[in-house]
Amino acid sequence: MSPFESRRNFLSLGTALLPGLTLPNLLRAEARSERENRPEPRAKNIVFYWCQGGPPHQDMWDMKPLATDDVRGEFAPIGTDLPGYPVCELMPFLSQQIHKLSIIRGVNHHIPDHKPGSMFMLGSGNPPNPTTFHPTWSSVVKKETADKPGVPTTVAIPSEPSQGPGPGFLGPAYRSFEVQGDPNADDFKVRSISMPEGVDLDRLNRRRRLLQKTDHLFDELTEKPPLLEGLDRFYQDAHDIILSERTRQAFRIDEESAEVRERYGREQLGQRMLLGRRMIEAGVRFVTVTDPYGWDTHADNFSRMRKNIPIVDRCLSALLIDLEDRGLLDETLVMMFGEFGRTPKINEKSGRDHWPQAMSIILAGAGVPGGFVYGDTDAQGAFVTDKSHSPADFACTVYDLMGIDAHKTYPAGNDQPTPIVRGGAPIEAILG
Amino acid sequence: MTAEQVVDSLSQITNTKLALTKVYYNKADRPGQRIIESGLSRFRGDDWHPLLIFGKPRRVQACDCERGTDPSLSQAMYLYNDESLWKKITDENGRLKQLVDTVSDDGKLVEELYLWTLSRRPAEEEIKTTVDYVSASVDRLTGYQDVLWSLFNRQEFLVSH
Repeated sequence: MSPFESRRNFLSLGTALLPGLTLPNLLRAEARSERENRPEPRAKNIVFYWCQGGPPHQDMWDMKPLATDDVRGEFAPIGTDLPGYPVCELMPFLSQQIHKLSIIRGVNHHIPDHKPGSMFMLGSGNPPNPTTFHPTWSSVVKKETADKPGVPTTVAIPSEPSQGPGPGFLGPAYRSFEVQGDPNADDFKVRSISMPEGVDLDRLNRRRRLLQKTDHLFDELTEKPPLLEGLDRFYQDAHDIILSERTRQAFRIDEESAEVRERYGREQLGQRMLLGRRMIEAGVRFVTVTDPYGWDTHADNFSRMRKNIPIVDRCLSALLIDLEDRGLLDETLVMMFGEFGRTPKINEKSGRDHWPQAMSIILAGAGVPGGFVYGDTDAQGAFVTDKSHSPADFACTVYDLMGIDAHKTYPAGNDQPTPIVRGGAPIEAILG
Repeated sequence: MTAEQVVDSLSQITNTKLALTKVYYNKADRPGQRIIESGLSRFRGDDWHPLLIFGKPRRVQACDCERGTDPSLSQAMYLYNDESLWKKITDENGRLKQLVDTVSDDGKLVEELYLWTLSRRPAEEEIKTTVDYVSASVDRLTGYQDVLWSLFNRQEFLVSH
């Protein structure tokens, strides 16, 4: 047995053999190894709402009512169920759900452009890299989770964010099942999941055997390229999903009552969130939801926020309450963020521009502390003044909740041992 | 293959019309019509779905990176089980029905189907497997529908054209 295989032996080695391990680090490593011994991760499921474009933190979660006119903006703060913490007046529903939320105001980075900024915040907290694309959250989860036949492990509604790295170095096989279409449309139907007319189970199985018998062109390759490996895997998944009544049923959003659908809001984002909840119930582990509205408000920030924020207010609070009512919130991590925040100073077009020096990340569920505002920014909402963290720290936190070793390495970019997250340490205050 | 090539070849092979509206502003609507004949980047109709999932750019970014080339579960599910593709395969006026009606020699028919889909002739072994499959099917047409389905689902179809 290697001395590192038991915690006792590991500790008895002391720090003599491990000069890089200071006492706080050692204690943290110990805490982590205890967490790793837990049978189930705290975040069994994840609903990730990606706000493409960069939401204005100071107009939502990090209000600066005392700032000057050219910074403060048009919205007034309102009180919440957390005394002393105000949010935007356009969030009356969410203002009563703060007791479920961790609001992280200290994560920041240095890349003020959408594509590379999204690489950072979607690519598991790794700075964008010209040779290697680091995999996005859903792809890491798919890679690190045992498949359940008949249920896709990861689903994107309607598709994976267009700006991110996608599955990166893990390869195309780890891309989410993308629902496509608009769940708010009356004729919404997930394509290709029901057997076409004239095809029954016997016929499907019989012709599948024909396919397997003849599909040999690439058998002689000793090592299949990722493309073919992906295809192999997808065909097996497709077959299993088509045969799973439970999965097919989960896609039928019209089985929800009109009342429930209304609660989430009858617009595209609300119905995507509701479909996301159905996916989680059916056993999907990671759901990515994107919105069709966009947050890149270089012009008319305030009129656009008057449209966006009430939509998010309604559907995100509906999702949190619904998950709680169904007993799913304790095991489901809900997270919401974009690639950066927005400039403190309002520009001449009433817009706000890109600002990675500050942003607000919202987490709920999976045992993260509720009513917890972590970190702070200065009076302009410009720079972090308390609890500054890198995206890598944030990524380590999230993967810890998911029960995934964030520093596990894979060979990538000319076979370099490449960790899922380079550096970083979990934010202990969020792990609770 | 690119998205347009996938959808064009499925229509061309089955000799069916593109299931797209707004392909043309005029009335042109014929089997074998190609996506590239239209200047539009968004359509309605059953064939919009495969265009999307095989990665046709939506032309919302000024970047060639918008075109997707990765395989995906949605693509596998489309070729494996989509109603609209099955409609093309089983079309009453489509190529398959016409070939089954006019070519009585099974070896020749299998060869035709291989040429249309994989652009190569079948090996002896492949002909035998296929003909055995068809003769054990409910009828000849049903058997060949499955054969064409299996050719579309061969890795070879998407990868080594």
